[in-house]
Amino acid sequence: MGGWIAVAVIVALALWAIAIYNGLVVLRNRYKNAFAQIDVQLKRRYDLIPNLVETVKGYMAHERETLEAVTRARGAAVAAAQAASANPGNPAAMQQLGQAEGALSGVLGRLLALVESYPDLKANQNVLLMQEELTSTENKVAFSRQAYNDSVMEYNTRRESFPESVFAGPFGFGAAELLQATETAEERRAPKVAF
Amino acid sequence: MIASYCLFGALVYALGALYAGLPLSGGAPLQWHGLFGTYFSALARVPSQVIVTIAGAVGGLILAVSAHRAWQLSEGGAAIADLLGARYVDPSGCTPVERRLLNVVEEMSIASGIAVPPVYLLESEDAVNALVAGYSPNEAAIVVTRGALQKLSRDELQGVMGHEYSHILNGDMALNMRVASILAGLSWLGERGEQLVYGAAWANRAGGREGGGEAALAAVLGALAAFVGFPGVFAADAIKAAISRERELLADSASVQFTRNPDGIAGALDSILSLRLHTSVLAAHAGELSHMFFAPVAGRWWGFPTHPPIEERIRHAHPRFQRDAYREAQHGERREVAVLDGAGDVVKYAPIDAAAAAASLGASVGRPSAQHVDYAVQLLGKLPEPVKTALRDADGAECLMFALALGPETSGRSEALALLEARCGAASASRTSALHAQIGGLARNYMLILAELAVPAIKGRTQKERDRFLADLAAVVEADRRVTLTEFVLHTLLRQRLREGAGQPIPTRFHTLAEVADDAHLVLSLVAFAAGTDAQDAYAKGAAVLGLQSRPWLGPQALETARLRDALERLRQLAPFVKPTLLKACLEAAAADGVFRLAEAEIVRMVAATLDCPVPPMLEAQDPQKLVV
Repeated sequence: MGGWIAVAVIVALALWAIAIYNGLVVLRNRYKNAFAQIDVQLKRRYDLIPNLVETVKGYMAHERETLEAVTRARGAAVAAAQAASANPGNPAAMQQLGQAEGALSGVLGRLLALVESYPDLKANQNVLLMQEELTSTENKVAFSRQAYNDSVMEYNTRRESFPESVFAGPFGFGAAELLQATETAEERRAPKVAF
Repeated sequence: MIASYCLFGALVYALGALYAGLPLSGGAPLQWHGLFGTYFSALARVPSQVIVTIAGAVGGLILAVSAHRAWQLSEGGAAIADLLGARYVDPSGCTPVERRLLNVVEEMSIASGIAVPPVYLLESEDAVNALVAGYSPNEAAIVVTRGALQKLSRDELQGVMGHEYSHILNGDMALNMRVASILAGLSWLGERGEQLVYGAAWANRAGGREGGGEAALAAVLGALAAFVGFPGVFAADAIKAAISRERELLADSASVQFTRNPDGIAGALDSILSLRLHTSVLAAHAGELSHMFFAPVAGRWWGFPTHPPIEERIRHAHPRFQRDAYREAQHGERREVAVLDGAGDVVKYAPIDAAAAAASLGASVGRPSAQHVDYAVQLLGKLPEPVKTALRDADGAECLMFALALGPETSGRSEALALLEARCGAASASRTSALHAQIGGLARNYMLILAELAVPAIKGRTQKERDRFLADLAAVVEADRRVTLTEFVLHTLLRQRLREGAGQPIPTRFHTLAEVADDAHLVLSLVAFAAGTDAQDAYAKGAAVLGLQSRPWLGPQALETARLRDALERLRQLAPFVKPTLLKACLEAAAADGVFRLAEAEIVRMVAATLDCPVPPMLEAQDPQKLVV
């Protein structure tokens, strides 16, 4: 009898450990997926930019500088993304990618602000659609980062709380890193408002 | 519920026993005259088989309807969308607003980490509302009304979608679906009954007398069904309210978590309040699903609220929400503006053309703007209570207009009041005098807005009464033997609004400006006269628009009221497409020196009223309060 009870307790403990393990796996995969989503959104943004520049070019001939800056920043970001995917985990490449993305966000923001100041442009249906797409893409990039950080937070909280904290180490669940705000030169500059 | 059906069934049986001799337990037949006294004993004597049969039938009906609804809804969210008659929004072929909605939904999907649900649109619903339905997060469907799409800003829409995503994530959606199918049986009879009654009412209104008998029968049957089914509807509503209320607060908070922008959800809720948008969805079955919607769908008179009050939701989602600051910032984004009548009730929503706000003074002739309506709202807020009350009835509105006509000058006031007493009676005279004291400080700057606010009430009168009022007003104006520019403007404006045929198309007699050059010359001179010392310059600016440079400005001696009245009358009959040019000339003249004076603004508005061209966009610079007198 006593033997059966011991077996039952051991089975229950094993099931419990398995449940904890599986729970951690679910959360780990969730944050990994969230990280991949950021890439998806960034890629979408690269694809969108040439179209946008093409649409507004005709109306903003004398804003060529800004348009060129957008195109350049996109090129830099694409190159940085390729470099980063060639050797993933390389801190230098990742940092470069972060900076390039930051710079791209900066010039895109400037472009959006410019579009605002052209009444002709604002009346153009195509431009309005592109503006909506761009706003949405920027939102999606931001939300995918937010979703990544949310899922990392959930994972880390679970990993560090008892009783998971006992198993996390032996099972090989390391801490996940939160995405920090990308502080590029562009972003550090105080926003200039001009009308 | 079952008890109520049984009670009713037993009553019917007892009546049947009275007339047709159905078997009752315990010997003696029922007596009609004793029925009231023996009501309960009669019920008690109904054989138990009858009660059991009814209970079984009702229970079966409830189960059957619930099972049917559960089977209907087993397909998930799409079934709810079909039930409401919503249209699937196809991402590959959609309008810009629909695109925006789809984008917002995708963004929220990313933020909450679930699959992008299909989006359905309730095309014919003007209300601001939305719901999400489905059994599991990955087969949910979002249903949005067209009103929500058009009336909310992008951020607000995002807030609403964040709220819906909380229902997906927190499992409310699946619970709501189950509740919907279970309660469907409970409230079925009552709701069908209500529908029959409403349907009959509609048929009656639409079809006149034909088929009156059928409609009446349907109405009676419907009323009976609604009466018997009432406890079921009542119970279903109570259950829905109990389940839904807390969940809505939770979802509002979760919306903030997803969007990281408390202004989104709080702004959407505030828009429903401040812009007086409604949330009642009229689609069939919307009542059954009231616990799933973003905002209350329709209240019954007993009103178990399915949602907490909007103010409480705003406080809960965003405790530091600054309504005034938010409204100010939103101004540019507003797509519609509420048009208010004299009593402050919404008459209709007028779309604002995005371009209109940016357009310059002259180009915006013909389109009302948000600011313009806001002056009326602001003013209504500031008015003393007696004045507000006066604006609501025709007598009061007329007295208020007399009070305006009295003007600030004290000389001649007693004569004018005596005249008024002779023409309209002592009551009017004393009320006018009282109102005159109330509007003292306000009257000058807001005269024309007050006049416009008074028009709806006075319009309710017959044409004969209106003509008499205009004659009385003219008499009051002329009581002191002189007509000031302000008085002339007031009288002309009211005359244009209240005359016979006001608001109807004006027959065109003149097709070009050249035909009425003399009249245009005179009116433009009047506008320039109001410009004061710069009259010559002002006139030249306006004349350039009309091609009247060769004619000199007419001095004040030429500006007689009778001549002006005739000139305006002829200009009124100008072809509609020429009128804006004339109005533009007047605006140019008025704004020539860069200052838009009150007198100038009033005259331009009077000219616009005469031409039947609204000139509302008295934008920022033209708030009557800020104008130079």
